[in-house]
Formats: sequence, C-alpha cells, structure tokens
Amino acid sequence: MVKIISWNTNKKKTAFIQNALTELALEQEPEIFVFQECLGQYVNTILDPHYEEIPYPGNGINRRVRIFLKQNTFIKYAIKTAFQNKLVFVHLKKRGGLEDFNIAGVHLYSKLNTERQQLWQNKPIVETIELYEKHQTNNNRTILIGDLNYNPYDTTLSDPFVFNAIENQHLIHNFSINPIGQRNHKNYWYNPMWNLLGDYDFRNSSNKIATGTFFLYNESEVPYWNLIDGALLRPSIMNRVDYQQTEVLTATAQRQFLKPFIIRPDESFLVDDFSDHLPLKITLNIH
Amino acid sequence: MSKIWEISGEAPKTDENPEKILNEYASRLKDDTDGKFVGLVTETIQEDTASATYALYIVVPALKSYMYRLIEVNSQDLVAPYPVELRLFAKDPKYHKSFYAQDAKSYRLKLEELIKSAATKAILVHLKTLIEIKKEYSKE
Repeated sequence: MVKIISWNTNKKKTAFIQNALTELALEQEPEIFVFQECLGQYVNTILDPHYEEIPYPGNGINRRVRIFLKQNTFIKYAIKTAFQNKLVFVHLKKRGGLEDFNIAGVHLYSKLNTERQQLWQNKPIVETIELYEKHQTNNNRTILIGDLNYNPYDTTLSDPFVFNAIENQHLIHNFSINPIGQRNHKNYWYNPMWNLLGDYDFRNSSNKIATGTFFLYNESEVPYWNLIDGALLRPSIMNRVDYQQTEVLTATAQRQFLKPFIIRPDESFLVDDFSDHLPLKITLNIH
Repeated sequence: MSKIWEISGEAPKTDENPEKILNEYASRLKDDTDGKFVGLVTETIQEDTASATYALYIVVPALKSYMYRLIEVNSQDLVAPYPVELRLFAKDPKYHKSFYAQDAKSYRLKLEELIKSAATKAILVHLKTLIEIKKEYSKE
C-alpha cells in the first residue's frame, strides 16, 4: 500500500496548520506527503524524524512542490524538477517492494489569467512527465498528484491533445487495445477524482459536507466547491486505488477544517487560519 | 578602523506589541457579552514575505464554535511592528475597511473605533439572532 496526502498550504504558517499537519501525520500515517505553496522549515521540524524531504535546489524557499517520504520506506532512483519546481518527478520503489513507480508532484498553473494561457502553460508539464517516464525511469506506473487547478470535468483534463485523462477504466482498457479512431488512445491518464464528486459517500451511506478541496462563493457562477486538487494515474496502475482510503480530508480527531456555516459572501467554508485548500488522501495498492 | 558591529535602537516594548494589545481587547468580549461570544487572537506568518498577521475572532460557543474573523492586523516587520494595517471584515464586503496606525497609541484608538463601529454591532446582532433561531429550533 502507498498512502499519499497532497495539500496546498497557501504559504501560511499558523498554529492551526501546524497542529493539523502534526495530527494528519500521526493519524493517517501516509508514506508520502506532496505539498504545494508550502514554505518554511517548520514543515521539516514537524515531520522530522519520521519523514525525509526529497532534496533539490530551492525547495522550501519558493512556493512550488515539496515531497516528503516516510523514512527508510523507499529507494529513490531519480529526482527531476522542472518549470521552477512546479513539477517534481521522483522514481521510487518501496524497500523490499516488487514494483518501481513514479510520483509526479505538481502545482499546475491556474486560471488566474486566461484559460488559454493556462492550457499553454500546463501542456509542456504533462509532456515533460511523459519524457521522464520514457527516458528517466523506463516505467509508466506514474501517479500525477497535486494542485491540478482543474476540476475533474474540465475539458483540458480530458482533451486527448493535452492530458487525455478520463474517468472510466473500462473505456481506457478497451480503446488502448482496440483503437477505434484517430484519437490518442495510447497515453491515457485515469482520473479517479470523478468518484469523489457529489455529496453522497457510498462507502458509509452518509452525506459529505465538502464536495471539493477549494471553496469559493460567487454570485453568478457555480460550482462553489471545486475539486481542483487531485491525482491522475497511468493505466498500468489505474485499478490500484483503494477507495476506502481515498478522500478529501475535512478534519482530524482534534479539529474540524470546515466552519459550521458562513455569513459573508466572501467568506470561505474553510477555517480562516487553515489553508484555502483541503488536503486530499489517495491510497494505492502498490507493493 | 570603524566599527562594523553596532548596538543601536531600542528593544521593542512588550506593552506595545500589536498581538498583545489585540489580545487585551479580545479578552473583554466574553464579559462584555455575558458569555455569548468569546474573543480569540491568532497569528499567521506569511512565509514568502515574512510578514505577520494577527486576527481577532468572535467565537460563538453556542453555534458549534463558529469563528468570525472580525479584525486583521498586518505587520511587515516583526522587530519594529509599526506601522500596522488594520482591516475590518464587515458582514457586507462592500463595507470592508482598511486603516493604518503609525504607533501603539493610534493603534489602540483605531481598534476601539472598529470594535464600537456599526459594522461590528451588525455582526454581533446577526450572530445573536442565529443563536436565538437555533434555540427556538432546538425546542421544536
């Protein structure tokens, strides 16, 4: 099993975030943390000595991607960074494990300017991951994870000329062995995040209060909840998701990350001293 | 040879610390509202700019400890904290306000002005109404 927590901490250091991180590490015991917008030495202090940070020049100083691995759990074969550390690619294997695999930690460009610019900024990142798979690792067991800045249903994710990420394993399997058209049927990503949309939790017959990782009330637009943090998997490992252990995290045993209600249109449902993103946990049957 | 090490300036006065002053006002909220609301001050360090933000929250124990971020105080320098920027979060974002205080004295005056303002009163009344609605709802 490989349990990963991805979290954009919004460049902030508060007592609430530090306590939440400590509790997440103790309660969830993930093997891997992938952070975005997470600056400062305090993260190392909290996670030390149980986790080691993937070293590369400049991590912690700028606001891109940082990866922490549980101590003495993995063998690291290669580390590549690109796009000012918006992509950190690590080729790994569990100690005593059977399969090597890749973590592509990302903080993709947002829609802050225009969607067209976002597309042209992010396309080279996904192409670079493909190059790393071919030339650095010679395997395609890649987990692309982080702040994607796309909802699962954003067309850029499913566009065959960009990510080619779709929600249906059966279709990926069928089209990969039996292409039926001109579409790129080779380099699919499987997007398991579709299964986290909606407010009904089929695992325990309850209603979820957060249907995304990022909340933004807007008078003229929906959605309010955006599932823009996520993970994409290559088809070789698409059937490995443990959905019982995959979710948007809204609390620890000690604290709630969400408010019971809001009274202002520019107020977030996430606690103010928290990040503007909720952490995402994904667990994969990789041994 | 001229000295390169120099002892100059004054140590920051603890009674002028913006967080400490904010805490003084926060601690009065519980008594002044007969325990309906509790004041809380938190600190956020913005790691990319090394600036500090202190926030005064109105905590509502009767409403699952809902926390309303009423006033935010931003300081760009941890050693010499003034001037500070004060921001008041009104219930309607149109009435959010921002001010600067050059020293501890003007900071105290501005804080009192914001706490006594109509915007703050409107928030307290709104939260009090929600408490009453919840009480009524619980009776049914």
